[in-house]
Amino acid sequence: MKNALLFSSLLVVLLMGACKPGFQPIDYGKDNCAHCKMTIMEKQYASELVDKKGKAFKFDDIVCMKDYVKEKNLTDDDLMLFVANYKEPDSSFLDVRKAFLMYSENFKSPMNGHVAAFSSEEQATAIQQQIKGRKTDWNELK
Amino acid sequence: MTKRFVICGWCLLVLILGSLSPAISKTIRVQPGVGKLVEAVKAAAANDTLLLLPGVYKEQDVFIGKKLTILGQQFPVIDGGKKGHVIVIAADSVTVDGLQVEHSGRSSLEDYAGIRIQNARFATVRNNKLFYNTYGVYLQNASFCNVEGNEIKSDSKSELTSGNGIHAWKCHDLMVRSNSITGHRDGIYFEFVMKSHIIKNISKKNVRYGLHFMFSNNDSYSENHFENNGAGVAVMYSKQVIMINNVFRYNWGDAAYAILLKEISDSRIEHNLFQKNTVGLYMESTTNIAVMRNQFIDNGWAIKVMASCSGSDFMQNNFISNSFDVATNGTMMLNKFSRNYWDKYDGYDLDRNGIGDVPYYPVSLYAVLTEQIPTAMILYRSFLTNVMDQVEKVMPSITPDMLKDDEPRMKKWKL
Repeated sequence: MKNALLFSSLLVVLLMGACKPGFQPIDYGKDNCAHCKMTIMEKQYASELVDKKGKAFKFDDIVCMKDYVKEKNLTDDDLMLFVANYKEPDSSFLDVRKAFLMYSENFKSPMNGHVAAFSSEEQATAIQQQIKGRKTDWNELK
Repeated sequence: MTKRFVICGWCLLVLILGSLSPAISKTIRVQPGVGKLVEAVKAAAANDTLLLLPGVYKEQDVFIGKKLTILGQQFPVIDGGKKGHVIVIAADSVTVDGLQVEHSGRSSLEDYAGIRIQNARFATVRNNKLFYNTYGVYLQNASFCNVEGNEIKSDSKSELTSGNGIHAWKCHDLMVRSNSITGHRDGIYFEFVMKSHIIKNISKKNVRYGLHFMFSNNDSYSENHFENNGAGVAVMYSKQVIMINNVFRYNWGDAAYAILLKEISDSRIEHNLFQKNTVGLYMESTTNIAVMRNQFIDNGWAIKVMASCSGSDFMQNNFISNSFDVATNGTMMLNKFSRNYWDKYDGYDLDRNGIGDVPYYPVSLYAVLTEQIPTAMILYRSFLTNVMDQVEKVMPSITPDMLKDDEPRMKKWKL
């Protein structure tokens, strides 16, 4: 009896955990960009939006995500916005509002957004010279 | 009489050319080895011809900055050793013919190519084999160039990091003809390319698109075969694109389209064959497209036209054994369907003029339902679904009644 109670409460906790909205992994080469419909191929510029219902929208370019937010008139605060770390695209995604964004024509992103994200200021500064970049942030993006 | 003139003319031409050419250019035979091609290019004068003898040349960044013709005998191998570009053409009127160029470098910042043409005009890249390069032929700021008869392939192991087969960026007046491309990210990729033609290429089994247009106006592609590509062909953000006599086949997958059109205007899609694709033609935010005399056979959806499209004409096409003929996501329809042959049409033709007397509504009830609830597909072809479809035909309630063909043709068009 006690066991059953424990088990069911555990199940409830687990199920609640499953409902918690969060980042959903991108299946590269399979998933399509929610904005431009292109297949997402390049890990370095991938991004993802999770709305308040927990539904994930995936993008192949940071600028696609920005356009999508604007087009659908979504308010930023309700959303979780993730971007890939340019330096370590295989590691976990960054919160776009906390990430350090850089604009450079040398970033050949799929939709010509020319924007990449870094996890720390040092990382961004380290590459800035090489690619003739300019620092920017999420709100500044057009 | 005229024949004699022609022969005389040719003799004269041969004489003139024969007497001039030794004076201004010479042919240099190049032996294989490490760095031999770079040396030979440096030593040669403009207008010379380099004849590469069979063998392996280990080279990197062979920079051609003068007008040269490079010919290969029995496909000499130019191996880039997975570092940098292999051949870079940076002068006008360079010809590269009959080489096997392989193993360019791979990097996330630099697009390394087998043959790169930069800031040059009148280049010809002909009859080469381009194997296992990140990018096969890469044209940047090039114009009046000819990329013809090349065999381009890459390995599928490194799918995500691989580049495009033929990649053109900021170019105009290109001719891409009779190439075969396989195993790259996009077979042919055009970005900011104007007044160019893509003819008779075969683009198969590329990871993403067989052909990809971005921001490229006044181009045409005709008589190409696109098969088994990850997501078909994408034509995006372009104007005045002409697509004629192409074959789109076997583009299967959750998000695969034979052609994906997004923000395209004033273009023509004619005489193409769409066979066995998940979606034949997907259109979003397009204006003024003529879709005429195409064949749509055995597709999941022949056409998906979003409510954001306007001013397009769908005329004289054949729709044969598609699961769904047309799907859309709204009730508005600003496009016109007319005189198509629909194999699902079961109307009558009492006056025997070859045109059905009652209109055909190509959007079935289930096409509307699955557009809103994709998972409803699991019940497709069930008994209830058939009943619902029949009822909807008699009393239309949720299918868009503006989307109809008023003059459905009774017999197939001979295309």
